[in-house]
Amino acid sequence: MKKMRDGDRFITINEAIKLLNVSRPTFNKIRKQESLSEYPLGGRIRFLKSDILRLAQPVDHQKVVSSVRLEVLSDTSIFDLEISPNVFDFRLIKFIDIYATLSLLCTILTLAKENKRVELILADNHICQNLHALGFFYEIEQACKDFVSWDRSLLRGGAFGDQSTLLPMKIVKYKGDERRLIEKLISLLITQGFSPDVGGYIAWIMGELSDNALTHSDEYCYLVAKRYAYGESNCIIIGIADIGVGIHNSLKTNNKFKKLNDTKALLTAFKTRASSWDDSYNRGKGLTDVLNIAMGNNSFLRVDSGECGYFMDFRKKDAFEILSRKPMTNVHGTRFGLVLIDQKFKVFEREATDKIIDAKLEEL
Amino acid sequence: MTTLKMNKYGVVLTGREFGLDVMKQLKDALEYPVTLDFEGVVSMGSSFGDEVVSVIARNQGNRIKICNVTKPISDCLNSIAKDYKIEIIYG
Repeated sequence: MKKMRDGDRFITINEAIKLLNVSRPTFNKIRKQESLSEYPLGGRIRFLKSDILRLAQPVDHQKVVSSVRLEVLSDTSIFDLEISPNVFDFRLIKFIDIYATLSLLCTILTLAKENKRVELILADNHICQNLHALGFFYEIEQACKDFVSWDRSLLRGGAFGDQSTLLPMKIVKYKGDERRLIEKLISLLITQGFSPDVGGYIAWIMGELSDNALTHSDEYCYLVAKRYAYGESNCIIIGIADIGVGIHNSLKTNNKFKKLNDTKALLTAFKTRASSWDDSYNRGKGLTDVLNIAMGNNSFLRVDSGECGYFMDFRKKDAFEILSRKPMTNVHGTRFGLVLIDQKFKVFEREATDKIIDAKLEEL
Repeated sequence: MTTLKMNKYGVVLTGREFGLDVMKQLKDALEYPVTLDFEGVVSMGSSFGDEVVSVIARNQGNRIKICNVTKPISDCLNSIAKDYKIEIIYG
């Protein structure tokens, strides 16, 4: 019998049929054609789950293209990748940005935290290699390798090898760690020709969001940053994610906000002085500042918290939009993806930001 | 009078708890009035600023002199100034 990989297990014929989504007669044909290894156990035939998963075919790519483009502007959910419970088929991904990567990471981490075994079906393609270069699999290995399995032989080279990655995916466990990472990021931005100011704004945003995540999640968060071109401009996309209680739940621990539904609570949290702390502490300005910067920069951001999400598009100066979005994943915690364009701009005032949020809250 | 070189606390000054820690260290050592010198500091967050800049300013008549700021830091300071009704004098 061939050696069983860590995380692999025997499954029944019915489980195999479900995994492959075929009928019993079709499965019997597959058994014969593929010469599937069979293991008699307890008087019944069993198969290795990994053998079956190798045969799981991705759906027609034509159908896949529009539904699994995971990017900041997408409505796609992580669960489009989940071909059976806790089995995620990465071959279905045509494009994935770091925001979606964080959503995927949080999904996997949450399942592993619940002691569920997760299987990732990879391919020897640029998507999986890019995720490897970003440090995605490395972080999963560090956090929950006993619960997540994938074919490591498909990932070539070392992690962290992509030149567009300014800050590979990094866990931040302790307050203060994020400042060291951000300082390294700023140095890299300058050597790569970005203006010093954009580094300053990035640091402000990442510092506030990390501080929030570590304060309210009580655990850890992940940071990541990549560069890319947007028209003729240099841009940075930053991602921050945690699997804490979520912004909306944190806000609702303040009695003033406890009656809000989750969708309203998430948006309200971006208003000045909206905080889980009592008004007398004069807190709750960090998220507002993130919006002030994004609005001034005419960029865009995505935020998901638990089962609610928003896409905030500030690219058109006279037509800012805050659009409700179904989150890419519904695990608890918060995921941010934000783009900053390297250009001169004027940060918005908090009152102006509050007005825009109030207008959207009226619509909800 | 004290000129406090903020770069001794780092290049990136963010985080409310960090701000509280810095003020704890400084509390008894400051000779007012205090000027804050941000040479070498690339960024500051409003949470840090709340715990340091506003506290120092309140202890000296709601005024504070600041020098060598980058644009992101001055934007942050301007928000803090408006929030706490502090006068910031850029030197």
